[in-house]
Amino acid sequence: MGYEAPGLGEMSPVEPQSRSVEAIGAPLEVARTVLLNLTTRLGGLLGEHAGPLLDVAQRQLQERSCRIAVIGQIKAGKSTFINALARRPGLLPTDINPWTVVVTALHFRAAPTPPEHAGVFHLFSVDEWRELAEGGGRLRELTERLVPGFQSDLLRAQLEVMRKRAERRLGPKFPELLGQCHRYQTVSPQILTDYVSAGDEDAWPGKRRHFSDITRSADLYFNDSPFAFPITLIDTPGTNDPFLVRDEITRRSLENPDIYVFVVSALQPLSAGDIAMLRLLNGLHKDRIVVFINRADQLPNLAGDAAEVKAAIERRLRAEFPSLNIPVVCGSAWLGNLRLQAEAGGLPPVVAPGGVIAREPAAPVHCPREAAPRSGGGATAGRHAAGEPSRAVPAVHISSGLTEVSAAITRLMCTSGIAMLLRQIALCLAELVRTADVTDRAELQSILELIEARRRESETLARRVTDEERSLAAFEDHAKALETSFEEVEAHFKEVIATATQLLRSQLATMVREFASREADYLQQALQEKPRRPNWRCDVMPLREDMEQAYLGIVDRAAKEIDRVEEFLYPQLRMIVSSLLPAYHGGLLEGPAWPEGATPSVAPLGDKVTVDLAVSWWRRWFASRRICKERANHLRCLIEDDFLKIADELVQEAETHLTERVDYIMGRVRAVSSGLQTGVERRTANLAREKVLLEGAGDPQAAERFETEQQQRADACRERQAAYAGVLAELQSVLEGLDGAQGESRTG
Amino acid sequence: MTETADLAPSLGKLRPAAGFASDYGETPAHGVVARPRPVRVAVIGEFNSGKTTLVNALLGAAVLPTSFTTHTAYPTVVRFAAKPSLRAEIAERRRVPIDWHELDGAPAQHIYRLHVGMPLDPLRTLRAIDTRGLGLGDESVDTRTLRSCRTADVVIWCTPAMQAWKDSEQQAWLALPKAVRRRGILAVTFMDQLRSPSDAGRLLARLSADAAPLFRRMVTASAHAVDPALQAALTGDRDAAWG
Repeated sequence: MGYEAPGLGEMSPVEPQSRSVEAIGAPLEVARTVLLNLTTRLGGLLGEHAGPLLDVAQRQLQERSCRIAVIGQIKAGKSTFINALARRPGLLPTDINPWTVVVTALHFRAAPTPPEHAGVFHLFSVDEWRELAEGGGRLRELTERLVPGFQSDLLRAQLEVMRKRAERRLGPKFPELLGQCHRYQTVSPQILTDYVSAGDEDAWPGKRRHFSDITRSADLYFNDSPFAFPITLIDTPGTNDPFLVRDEITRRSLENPDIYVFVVSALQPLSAGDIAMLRLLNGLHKDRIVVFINRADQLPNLAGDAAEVKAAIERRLRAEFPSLNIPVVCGSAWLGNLRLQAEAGGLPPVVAPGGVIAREPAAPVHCPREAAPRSGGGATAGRHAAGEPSRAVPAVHISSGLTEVSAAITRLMCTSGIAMLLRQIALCLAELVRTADVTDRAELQSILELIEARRRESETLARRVTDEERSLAAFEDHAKALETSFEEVEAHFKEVIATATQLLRSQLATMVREFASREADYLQQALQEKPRRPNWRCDVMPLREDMEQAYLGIVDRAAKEIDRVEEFLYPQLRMIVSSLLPAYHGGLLEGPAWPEGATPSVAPLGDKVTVDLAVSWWRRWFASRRICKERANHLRCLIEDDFLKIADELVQEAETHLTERVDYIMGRVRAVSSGLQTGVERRTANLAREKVLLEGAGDPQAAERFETEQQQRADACRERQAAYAGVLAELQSVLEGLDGAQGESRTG
Repeated sequence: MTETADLAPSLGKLRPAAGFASDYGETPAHGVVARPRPVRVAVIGEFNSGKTTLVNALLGAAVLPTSFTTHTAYPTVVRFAAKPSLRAEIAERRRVPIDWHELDGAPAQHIYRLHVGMPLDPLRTLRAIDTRGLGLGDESVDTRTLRSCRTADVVIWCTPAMQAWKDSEQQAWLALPKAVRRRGILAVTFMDQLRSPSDAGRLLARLSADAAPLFRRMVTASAHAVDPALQAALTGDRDAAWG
């Protein structure tokens, strides 16, 4: 299109409609559609042996969406941002107070029929509620460990408030609701507010029941998607919430997403809390973060400040994370929503999930800035209000930043797990097709030779039949040997995994113990120097980093060993192929099956631990214990308890990751070998009939019929081969497309 | 906006901190009217929370430079002086004259704080201490800033209306000694940035419940214009304003 989003402060008549800009995930959607069609086509083309692999691929292509989590501190404008990105102003409820209390997943998937339910809300189970409302959740657990028997007045008061509120809003029998799941055909803003918003204290209109205190998760489904690829947007409660319980809920939602949009306010960008959170994310998910600087419209001096804030943030990010290139976009989601409303011609009705119009237009948007334009900056001057209703468009024209964010998200998608999955599926399909190709070529060759032989004389035919029998027997031998080596290789894989996990377990444990005792020593020293107010602060980030490095290193070494053994399987398979089809030189089973760069999850390292607690808790800790040695010991135990648990989880993750990898490899080689086997079975059956004819040799009509049949089979083989060539060409272009998109996103 | 409470009367009700009782003076014996020492007002809060803007508003003049992109680099004390002056405090409590534009660029290590003298009426009764913003990532700076407000008679915590009262603010405030918190005022700044009048009401309702109990009182302030009510209170009859 050649369109570039205008810089902040520059004047642009109207932000172009996003439809003229590439929708999020477009390059990947091309690949997904082609692959999905191919899985259906190949189902008819390939034999039964391919069935399970094709089914898995099809399910993944249909169900896997790109998960984009929108995170940030309270009141950064996360819900507003989602509304603008989803092109549905007013969808998620927003408010001046921290309002979102429930992790809400919005599933967008273009489909001709509306989803069965537009909204599904899961309430806490009895146990979860008890843990949260009576136990205080993880925060309480951590503080209890730090200062036993001490319960913060604040936390206790908040839990009390939460319980009382739930009772007031839902009646004294509210525990009966726990564990329920509420489903709605259509979802109105009112219903959303009932489930995901904090709500005002005591000011709840009418007799509506307000469930948000006891709602665990909300899922909304849309079949009318503004995005190209299936996308799940995840709205999270803000971090740094003085209502402590909510902060924990947010942390739990950080594990799964493919991409993170980190929303910060332009007015207070990148505080210490933001940096801490980015460090955590960086540890978890490397380079799949976009920073969106929201609320740029509220900067006092639009023209200069926005550019300067953006530059400052970029500098800060480079200093903090030198190895990363985190895209930074400055804009205003609020403005984005206003423009969407203006585009729709006045104030649009709010569209409910499933495309149902749920309520009358919202009240006119209050726009104080228009009445009193800012003094600073020349940006206030121009008002290119051509065709735009002036009530909804502020006097200052700045970019909402949404176009840029969408482009950044698409770029990240092209290097994410989604792109890797698509590539893996394409490679797997290509492998299956090549196997079928080999089989058919071998069959065709054998049919042609038999026909040829029969035409000459029966002696030649007899010789051919014996040759064919011998070649099939040779295949059987190879196949048997292969089956044995499959078993050996599998046993070896298991051993590799066992060794790796054992090594990992012991290394991590040593690491944790050494770190804990070192920190305990430091503390003791600090206490000896300044007993009352020691100059000491425990930073566990280095431990987290060391553990991550050890974990990834060991998993990587194990993976390499698995690749090495996998390589050993392929010559055997290729030998079988060449015994079937001596002249075949196609590329079958060339590289390792597992996509390069697929790393195991490091999510456990993101768990909040006691040492992460704020300074004020530690002050209480210092107040509570007197003996220096006892204190140091306690600290050691705290670190060990927290991190040994994390180490255990990492070991489990490693085991799962490696096992998945091995299962996938074995699944693929088995599919290839059974594909070859099916072809051989067909040939054996064919040969048996040929032999009957050869021995009986009486009925000339039968022989003629058989020959026609053989000709038809040969033709079918040729047709299938042509189809394979077509499929392979398509797969090739899918892979090239994915490569291109990835390359562009790296350089772009 | 009907909610805009003015700050000055509430400042007036506060006596200097206990440690400075002698400064304030015992009841004079011979009917001599003792001139009270100016009330020391320390303004603290996270970065970009409108501290400097509030100081300017208190003084009714743009005494200190404000910016969203460069933060207040030195603690700054503003007091009454017959002629405007700007001095930098360096080692051994020495104060050397300096110019604002010399302070551009990276913060200088050798400058501890700035002293501004201005011939402004409000300064006859109050001395304003503007501080560096908290939460920029340097814990030692934050510790020093928080410690510096222990000697103030009034501590104003600024929280911006658009993103008010975060856990980090609550944690920092609660970490201060009770004696300091008893002299605390919560100022909700940038009230003019709210997008609707009802927002203001709802925000203040929440803050009254969650944050205000941790302070002596809560007031609101606007950023881009000096609130007329505030100005009037500061420039009006001193006795009326300060009780």
